[in-house]
Amino acid sequence: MRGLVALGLVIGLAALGGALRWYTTRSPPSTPAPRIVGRVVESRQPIAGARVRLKGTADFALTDEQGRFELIGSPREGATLTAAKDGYLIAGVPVSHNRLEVQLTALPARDHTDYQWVDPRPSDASAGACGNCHQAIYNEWQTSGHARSAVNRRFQNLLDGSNERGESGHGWGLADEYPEGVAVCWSCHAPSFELSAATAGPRHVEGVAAAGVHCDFCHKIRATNLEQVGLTHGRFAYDLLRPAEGQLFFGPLDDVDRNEDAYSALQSESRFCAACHEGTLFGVHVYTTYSEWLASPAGREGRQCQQCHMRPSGKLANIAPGSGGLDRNPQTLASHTFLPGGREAMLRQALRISFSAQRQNEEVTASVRLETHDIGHRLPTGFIDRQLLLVVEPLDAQGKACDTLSGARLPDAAGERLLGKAGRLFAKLLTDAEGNAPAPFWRAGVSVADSRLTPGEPEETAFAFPSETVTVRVRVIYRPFWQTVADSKEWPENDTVIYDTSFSV
Amino acid sequence: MQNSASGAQVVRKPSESSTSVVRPRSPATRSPSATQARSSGSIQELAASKQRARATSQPTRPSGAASPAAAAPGDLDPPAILLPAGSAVPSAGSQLSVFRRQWNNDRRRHIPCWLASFVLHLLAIVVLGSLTVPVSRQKTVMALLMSFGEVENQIDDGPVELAATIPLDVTDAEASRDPGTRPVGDNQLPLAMPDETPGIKSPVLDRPANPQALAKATAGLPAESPGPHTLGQISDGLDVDLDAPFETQNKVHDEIVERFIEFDVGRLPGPEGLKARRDFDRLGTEAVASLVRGLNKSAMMQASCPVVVISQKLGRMMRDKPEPALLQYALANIGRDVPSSAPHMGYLQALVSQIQQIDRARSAPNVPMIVASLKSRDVQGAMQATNVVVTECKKLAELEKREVAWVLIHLLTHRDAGLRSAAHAALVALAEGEDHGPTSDRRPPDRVAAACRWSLALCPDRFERAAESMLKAAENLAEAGKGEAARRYYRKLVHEYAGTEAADEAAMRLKRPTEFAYK
Repeated sequence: MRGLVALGLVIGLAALGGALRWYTTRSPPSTPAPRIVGRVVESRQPIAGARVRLKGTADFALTDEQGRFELIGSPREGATLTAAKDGYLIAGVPVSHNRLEVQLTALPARDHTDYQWVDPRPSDASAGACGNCHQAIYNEWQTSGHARSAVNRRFQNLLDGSNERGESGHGWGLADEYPEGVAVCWSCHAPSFELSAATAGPRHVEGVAAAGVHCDFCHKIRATNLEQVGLTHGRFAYDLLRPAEGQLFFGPLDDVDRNEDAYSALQSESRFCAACHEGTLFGVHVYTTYSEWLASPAGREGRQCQQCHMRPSGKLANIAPGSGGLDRNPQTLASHTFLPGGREAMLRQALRISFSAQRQNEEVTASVRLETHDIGHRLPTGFIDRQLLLVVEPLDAQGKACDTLSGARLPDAAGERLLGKAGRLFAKLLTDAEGNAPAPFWRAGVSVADSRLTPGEPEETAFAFPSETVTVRVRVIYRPFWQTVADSKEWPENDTVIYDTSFSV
Repeated sequence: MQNSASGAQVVRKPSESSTSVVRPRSPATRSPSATQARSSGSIQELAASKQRARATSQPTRPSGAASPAAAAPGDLDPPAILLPAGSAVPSAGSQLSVFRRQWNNDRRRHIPCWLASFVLHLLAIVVLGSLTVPVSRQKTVMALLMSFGEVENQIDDGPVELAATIPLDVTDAEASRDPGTRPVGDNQLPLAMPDETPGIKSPVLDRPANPQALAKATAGLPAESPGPHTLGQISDGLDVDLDAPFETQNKVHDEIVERFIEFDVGRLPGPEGLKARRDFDRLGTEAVASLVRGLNKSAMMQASCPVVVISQKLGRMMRDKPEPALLQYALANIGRDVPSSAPHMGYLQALVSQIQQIDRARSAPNVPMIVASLKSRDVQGAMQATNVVVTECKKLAELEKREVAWVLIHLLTHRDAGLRSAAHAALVALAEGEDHGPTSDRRPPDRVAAACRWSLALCPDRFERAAESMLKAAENLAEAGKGEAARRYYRKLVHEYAGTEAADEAAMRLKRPTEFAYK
């Protein structure tokens, strides 16, 4: 009996040990992953296609026809779930339990034209000034052409026929030749100008309008009308939504749940830029960037303007530090410089140049090939007077310039300094009815000769130099304005040298 | 029968046996008797001189050329006075009645010839003019001839100079039409107001020549249109026929605006576009109807250049020439038939708002004039000014209202009862119906009290400042030992500036006379 008890005890202990071993060595239990489910509604009506995400995270879900969503993940404490859809304010709810309902509020139906634009400049007097909370973005924007579009000295000089010092009667002036046309410029250069002021014909805008293409204007754009792209300019092509009271901003972030923000996919699309970067003015196709993009490989591939021109700098991690902004992935926050790295760097990136030369008989033959690289428009683009100049200079052993035996020469429009040198002009050259070239676009009857670089179409130019040529200096110069105009306006700097390289032959 | 060569005066024609013909004589062939008769005022001479005067257009017969053959029936001699058959040359006494009768008959019979002569002369002038005046100016000259006095005031130097100095954007039609009577086109554009309408002039004819505008408008144009444009050039440029009816001109202007829109949106390039732009630039106020139609059309287009440019042009026209007719037409027609959802409705509204401002500024009452009239000693003038205030008070800005009210309040205590009443009515109008009295105008204290109430209601700051100023003056008097004068000032303050802090202070000081008096 005692033996049986002992045996039973041993067996029991052995079973207990086995059980303990099994318990300690078994695989972890397969519990279901945490998930957040819920609905997005507006007044109990389901909202399909809303973007739902945990605020500040990368993944999002779209709601189905019944407005239902399911997010997989474990929310951290105090997390907020946000929902956004075009036409609604972004809404957020705390993730207090796993079944959530997010209530969306429709945007105001009507634009209020008596809205007072928010000044972007930081100010103690104005708590709502953009720069107060978004200092880093404000600083980026301030370096951009958008910030100076209304008050840029050269723009104003061209507008009123003045020179660098503001003295009138120097060179081209739209207001002198076509005073009624001046207000057209404000549509893009100062899009928040008062219409009544514009009809009164001011030459210089004031107040917030002087901030040009400013924060509040771009972030008040609900939609863009591209029915007649290029003919309806700037503010007239935009469907603005300005609130009667409080605030309302459109932006590319869909999780900003301050109850005054709306998600806008448009802000990340080329269409957003088209109203100002495509334009036929006074009968001349002056701004062609959007149509160039449409025709470019980048346009066909669906690469948008913002992908290059608002490429994240990687330096910005919080759009409103200390003012409620979240820390985010710097690669998700757009830069507002619009020319990341500066104009010169962008131009350099956008251009590939190759040179070849050989001695043949009694001369040196050289070939320069230019092509665009990874851009979605022609080069140069933008304002119609912008030019690229290829300047090729043969030099002898002493560094003296040699003659050019054959090959393209730079025309009059290149300016007195470069006239006749070996090279090419890549530009849209306007000729007026009297045969003057270059002519301003507002001078009716101009004809256009377009020789700019086209994406995917390299331009190769051959030259022949005398045998004493030992070095060929190749320069590519960018000019925003014609040299004759720059001279008449006494603008000190007009040339930006993109390339300046010497090749031995 | 006498020989005509010797100054014969009577030729009896064979077929006119029953009459005698008395011919006038030329001075060279005048007989001594005739000379005597002339010097004595003979009837024959008088009749002959009148005949000469009537027949100045007839070829002069050489002296001595009169012959029996020349006096044959059917010749074209100057008209003769017919005498009864068988009568000799009448005596001076009996000739008078005969002459009168003959003269009357003669005049009746020959007036058509006189008129025909005048018409022939006129035709000759026209024919000669057509041969000598350049074709481009014929219409202008004719238009000026036909319009007589209407354009006379503008053309001191004659029609040719007018053509040379007319501004670029004035069409031929502007210069040649009567502003008071010209038709207004198919939409009854009220451009032309009756001459008797005070303050409203033609929106087109009194535009001065503007060489600067001319130079500006021609700047940048090709060499084919150098220098100032004459009417003829403009006419050629715009294809406007001077004699075309205004409906046709409206169509032409409409077409110009239409073509400009086509140009502005890039559908009309090259020389055609250049011409469209030039034609559009030259349009003046005569084309305001077409511009407004073009504006309304362009507001509905998905293109912003035309609406901006046309509205700028219209806005400039209204600012430069704020004619009531133009402003009213623009206000009535801008935005007509344009749906509120039109892409550029906002721009139209802004333009309308701007024109309304111009209209208000133009028609706003002249406040300095009103104030000066109210302050003047001319009671009738002041009464008229109060009437202006009653009718125009809604057009006054707040500051202007206070300025006018301050003067009106003083008139409440004016010696003239009629003016007091008128000032009271004007104050009520300024206060939009609010009435601070006086309820009875008979007692001066009531008037003063009412003036205080009005001052506190309409110009409290100014009233306080005036009271403080008086208090200061009273204090100065008291300081200077002029107690009685200071006392008078304090009393005046208490009564005439009642309700002010200075008046309260004055009342207190009156109760403590030792504080200020008898120092």
